[in-house]
Amino acid sequence: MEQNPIFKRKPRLYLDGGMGTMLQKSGMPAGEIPEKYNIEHPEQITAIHKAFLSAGADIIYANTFGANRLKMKKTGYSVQELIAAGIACGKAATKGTDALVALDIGPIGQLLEPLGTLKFEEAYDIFREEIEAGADADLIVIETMTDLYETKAALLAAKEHSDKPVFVTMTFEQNGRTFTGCTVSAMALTLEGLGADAIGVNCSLGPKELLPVVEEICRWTTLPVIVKPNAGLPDPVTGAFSVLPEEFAEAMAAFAALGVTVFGGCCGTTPEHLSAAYQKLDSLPVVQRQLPEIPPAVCSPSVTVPITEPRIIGERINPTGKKRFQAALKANDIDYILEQAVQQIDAGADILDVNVGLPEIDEKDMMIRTVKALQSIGDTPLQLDSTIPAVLEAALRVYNGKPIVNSVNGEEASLQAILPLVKKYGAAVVGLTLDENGIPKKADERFAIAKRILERAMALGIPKQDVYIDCLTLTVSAEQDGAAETLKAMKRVHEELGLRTVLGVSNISFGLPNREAVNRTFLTLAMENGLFLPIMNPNIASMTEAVRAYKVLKGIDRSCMQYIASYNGQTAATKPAATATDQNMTLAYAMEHGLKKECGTITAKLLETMEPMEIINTMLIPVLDETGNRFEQGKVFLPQLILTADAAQAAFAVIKETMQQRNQAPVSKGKIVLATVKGDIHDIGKNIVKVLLENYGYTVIDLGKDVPCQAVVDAAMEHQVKLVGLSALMTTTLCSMEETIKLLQEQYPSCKTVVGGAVLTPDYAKQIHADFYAKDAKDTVDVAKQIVG
Amino acid sequence: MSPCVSLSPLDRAETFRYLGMMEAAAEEDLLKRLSDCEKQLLKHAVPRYTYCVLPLTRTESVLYADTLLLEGSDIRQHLEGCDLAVLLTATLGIAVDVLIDRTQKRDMTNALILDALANTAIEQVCDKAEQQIQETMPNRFFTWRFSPGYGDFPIASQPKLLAMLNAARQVGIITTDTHLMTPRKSVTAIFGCSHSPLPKRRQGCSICQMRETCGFRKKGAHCGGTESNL
Repeated sequence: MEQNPIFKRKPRLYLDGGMGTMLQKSGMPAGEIPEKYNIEHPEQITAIHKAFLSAGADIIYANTFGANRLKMKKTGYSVQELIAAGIACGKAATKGTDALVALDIGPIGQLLEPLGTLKFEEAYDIFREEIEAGADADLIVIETMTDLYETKAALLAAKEHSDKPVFVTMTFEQNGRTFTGCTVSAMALTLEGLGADAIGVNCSLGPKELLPVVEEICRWTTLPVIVKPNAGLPDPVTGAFSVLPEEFAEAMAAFAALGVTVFGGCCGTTPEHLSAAYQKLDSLPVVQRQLPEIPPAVCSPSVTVPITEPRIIGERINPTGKKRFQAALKANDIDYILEQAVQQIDAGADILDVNVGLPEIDEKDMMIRTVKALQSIGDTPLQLDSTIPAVLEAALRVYNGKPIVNSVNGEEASLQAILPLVKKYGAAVVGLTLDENGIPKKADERFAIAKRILERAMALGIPKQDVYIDCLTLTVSAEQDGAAETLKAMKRVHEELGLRTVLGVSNISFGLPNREAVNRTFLTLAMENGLFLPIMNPNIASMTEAVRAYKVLKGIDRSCMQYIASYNGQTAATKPAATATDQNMTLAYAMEHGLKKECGTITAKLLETMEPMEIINTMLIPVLDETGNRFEQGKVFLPQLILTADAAQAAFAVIKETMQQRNQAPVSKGKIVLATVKGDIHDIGKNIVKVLLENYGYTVIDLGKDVPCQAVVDAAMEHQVKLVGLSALMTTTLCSMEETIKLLQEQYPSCKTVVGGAVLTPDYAKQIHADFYAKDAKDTVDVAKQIVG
Repeated sequence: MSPCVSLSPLDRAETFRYLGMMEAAAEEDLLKRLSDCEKQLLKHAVPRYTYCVLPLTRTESVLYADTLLLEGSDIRQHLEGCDLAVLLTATLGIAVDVLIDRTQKRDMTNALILDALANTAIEQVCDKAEQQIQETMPNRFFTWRFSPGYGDFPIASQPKLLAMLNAARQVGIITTDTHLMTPRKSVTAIFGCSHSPLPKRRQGCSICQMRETCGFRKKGAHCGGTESNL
């Protein structure tokens, strides 16, 4: 890729050092907000910039690191004022020199979803405001990031609201990960894809400790690499940093040898540190970095999947031909989709295909919510699957990492709509070998389409290796020679174009008995012909086995490590339990012992002769009641109560699935809204209550954690519920509980409320006008029985 | 980079206390789950802590640790006779939150057990950190750890303590608008340091947030533990 002209200025670019360190040295008290100094003491800021310029800096970072609307709320100044003043200080210092001033963007200071409460879209908007306020800067630096999602929000905002060069650095620990678990490879793949001009590392550790991290960055990017380390660790008593200028300079020289070209210092580095470092660097020859061969790969923040060997794409998140899935989509039942994901991940999927297209629903909204929900439960990279470009773009925005887009095809309209999205968001793409004329019969024609797709992708700057070709499976019972044509096309695409292929294999056997055997054999043949990405059902053991065995036989799985890890000891463990189920285990026994799988199997058997409601009322609920009573009496305890409840969930899942298949209306004793209140992020208590309520046949509308007060009211009214359950763990969030109850009573007075949580007391519940106080999950069920029935 | 601590096997009795039960009441399969969960927790936890030592100054009505105002009479009383305050923050890292959240989608019982184990673990990290810090300060006497939220020491102090510690950069702890810490399994605390022996003050229930609903207290017992960010 063409480098930004900024790098033509000098073979090495020098940045500045620790602004905070210098401010504290000049007397700023600890805990003070440094950005206020841009307005209140601009001369101090300019003086620090000048000191770094004298030390040799080519680029200084304006004092705008924390100047976002959340951190600056209490300063009495606007983001615009603080940033404009900060850049003015920088410009005052660089006047008469050719040094540049960077708008410095640090983390927002709050954790993004799914673990935190800040929405991705909100983070984007916070950064957008900073970037617009910093229009006078020469470039943008995004630094000290630990969360890839937040970094993406910032980079996207920078690319969409300016045309300045953007440098991005994240903060890594010695284990090669950021505090939020982001790996170096994920950072590099994602940020290079999104169009950063240089990437690297800042803060974190001392320069010596950073060396392995920087080596790893160099392996995963073709962009110029930035290193801006701390001067070691601060002393807990004096606050002084441990690495002195000479030592810092020596250590920085090691990075020059790797071909790093952008240098600077972070916490604890003074003009003396940088001056020593830059003198040292100037004495060393400039090393041209050997650009690495980056493997084709997709990633989430913590898992990178190199497509250098066959990788399983799980196909189950797709409503096509699945009644239960379609019903879940219509009912907004994200939990069901998540179950599909968890099963596939646990069965060995490397990547999950995500398709939530159904004519009756808002696919874009559903896609965004599904992608976000999937990101909360797993690290498995996603393949975003839709026929609608706007849906794909929405998914690409909120995806955290580097995904695959499924798909583009040889039609002009498709090429024009999809490829620019793939380029902009730095994704990989599946190219289907069909066009305006449909699917060509012959391999050669499919090959020609593949070639056309590749050329168009590369013309837009999409790296060749990010294009995966799907030569399309036709049903062998309808068109028997089709299978061979598909395989032939794959082989040519792989060998002549040097591309890896992707293929949905299960369609091959449509209309045949014993489909599994045909699928499995076709899968093996396809892998031998260049298939790297089978799209398949990983829950079918023999399919996953075929992939794993193939890797053993081809010498990909060295020493059979993956294979052994997957199957070692498995047969011995599963057999006895299976026999017990088949024979004489009762549902009650399975529930009491938390045997989920057995609960499912027994329930399926019972459904052959009993009505669902009968099973629920005569078998499930009596056991739950009995356990609940024993819990109240202190004979069993919360873990044991939940063990039983969890097992009952498995029985319910089977009941729901069966009723869907029989087209029966779902069983429900009524709906209940549950939420962990605004500001609270501790929701295990609420989730326990949810499991128990569902056990008793209630439909729980789970609004999650940190739920805005009005959102609870809206959901309660929309679903016409009789009962809302609110949970708060900490004293600081009890006020949100009070506010929610107040709004409910104003707008929907017929609805009752039940509240619970660690610091809540019956007295306090009364004081905030809650109708019921529940001391535990069992208590909540009792309230539900009384109110909902 | 923060000082290193590694976790030793986790205290069973304490973990069962967080689960609201006694170890003796647990059947074999619960014990088995507990050891499986413990293995997972130890694999995911990345314990870190950071601290700073600040001089205490007092006027008649206010107490400062360096420039940090320590609000409330309970913390004043707690630090009586001390000339220094040690600010400490420790965390198990975000991977533990992720583990607990994801386990909830797979098995609620295990999630509950992991949550309890994590509470035990963060206490162990604090104990070890405290010990390591105290070893660097020979011939000194210390109080026990006091956290925002105890007694009248406001939780709103949490962000200020963390700012003094530069905790976001040092160990990756940040707070929400409502002063809750993320990662969730994190603790901030202050302990006092004196040149002369300090009177033994037992950590009682009177300052505990759970005093009104605590199951142990109802039975006339004491949890024996310290409260953290549970």
